[in-house]
Amino acid sequence: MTPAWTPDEMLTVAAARLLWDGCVCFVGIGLPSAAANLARHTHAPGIVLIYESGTVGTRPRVLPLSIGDGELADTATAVVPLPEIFAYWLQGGRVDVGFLGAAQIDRFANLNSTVIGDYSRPRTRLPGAGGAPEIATNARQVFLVLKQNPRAFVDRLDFCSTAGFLEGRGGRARSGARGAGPQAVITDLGVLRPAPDTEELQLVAHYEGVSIDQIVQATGWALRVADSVDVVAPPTDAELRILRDLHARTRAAHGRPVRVPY
Amino acid sequence: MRLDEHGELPRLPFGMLRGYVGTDLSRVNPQVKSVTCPYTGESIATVPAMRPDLTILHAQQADRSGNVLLRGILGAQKEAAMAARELIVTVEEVVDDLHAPMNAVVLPGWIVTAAACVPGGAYPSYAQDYYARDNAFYVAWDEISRERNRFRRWMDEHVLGVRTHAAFLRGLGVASTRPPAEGAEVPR
Repeated sequence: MTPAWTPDEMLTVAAARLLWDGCVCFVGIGLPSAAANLARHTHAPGIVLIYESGTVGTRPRVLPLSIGDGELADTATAVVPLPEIFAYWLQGGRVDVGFLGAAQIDRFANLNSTVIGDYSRPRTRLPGAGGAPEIATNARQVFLVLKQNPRAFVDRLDFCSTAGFLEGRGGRARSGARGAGPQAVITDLGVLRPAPDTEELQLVAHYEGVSIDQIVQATGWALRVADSVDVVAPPTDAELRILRDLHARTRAAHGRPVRVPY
Repeated sequence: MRLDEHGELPRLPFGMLRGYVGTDLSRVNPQVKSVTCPYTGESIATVPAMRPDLTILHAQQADRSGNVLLRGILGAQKEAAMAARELIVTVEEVVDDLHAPMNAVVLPGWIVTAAACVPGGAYPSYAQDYYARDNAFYVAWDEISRERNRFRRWMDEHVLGVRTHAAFLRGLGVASTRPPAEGAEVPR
């Protein structure tokens, strides 16, 4: 039987559940933004969302298309300049969770958002890391969302844009990074977390209807599986309704014609 | 591109950040170097200060002395303005008095090389309190810009082939013929 929700919806719901009420969350555009706003509309109404454009405590009615959306500014507690976001808020240790995506991830949760292929002759040039290196270094912890397949979950990154646990086994701490690093990777198949000793990602939970073998096959390295693997509860009716409403509002708003005075 | 974000120290020695540790970015960009913090011994990545010949900004208002008021998401616009040798600003409107709140971002006229009134100058992006961003255009742009010939045709028709910004807006069917609506009035 086909489930009544999409893998993206399951991913978004599972990611949203990891956030807590009152959490200060530095949000990336796309799936992290959808998950963070779902959390705000469900179990975490007091979550503080910060986007890199300097919008602090924003409560957007629709999902932003980019960090620069006026909607983020209109609904923010404070709008601060970009250098201030990086200096006072990120380096100042004000952020509980950095919530990010990437194009590639390796077994130690290092990330590539820069190029596919060789850096000097890339097959694909990606948008770039933006603020992710600073966010991943300074946030108390990092949650990552990616769709899981062997092209994204790779044995070797084409380029390391953002440090996770580097080579593992304390490599991150030795590098002087301040936050605890990536503590959860939420995919469209399940959830990975770093093993306490090696800091290598291991499968700790999967979704209903997804087998552990399927997740191992979708990983470009020999994925370790935790001794006990949980099954993530499927989306509730309320979670699905609120998420779909959010997407519908967003589509309607983004399709609205704009008139410019001159 | 990182320099745009972090070269935030106009006419100062260099910018500092922590996030390059352990990544390939410092390997491929020789401009990224490091210093040791004299207080903690921590290794800090540095990027050189930017000194652009020219910065171009779009803002909400200028007064007749060329003082410019900016508001909304600022990004690094003030830093870009202060770092440049020459600063050109386009504004939504020219007013007799900016009525700027005490801590507002005001670029004094004497650092502005030239200012011009270009209503709708932020389109397809937005000007806070004047008009919204055209998100549908941004989505459509992904397709337009994906293929070189289509991109060139679009540029010829809408940018290179028009003489004024108003004609650019009319060509895209987004120009309002009304005077600025009530919602465009500047909050005091």
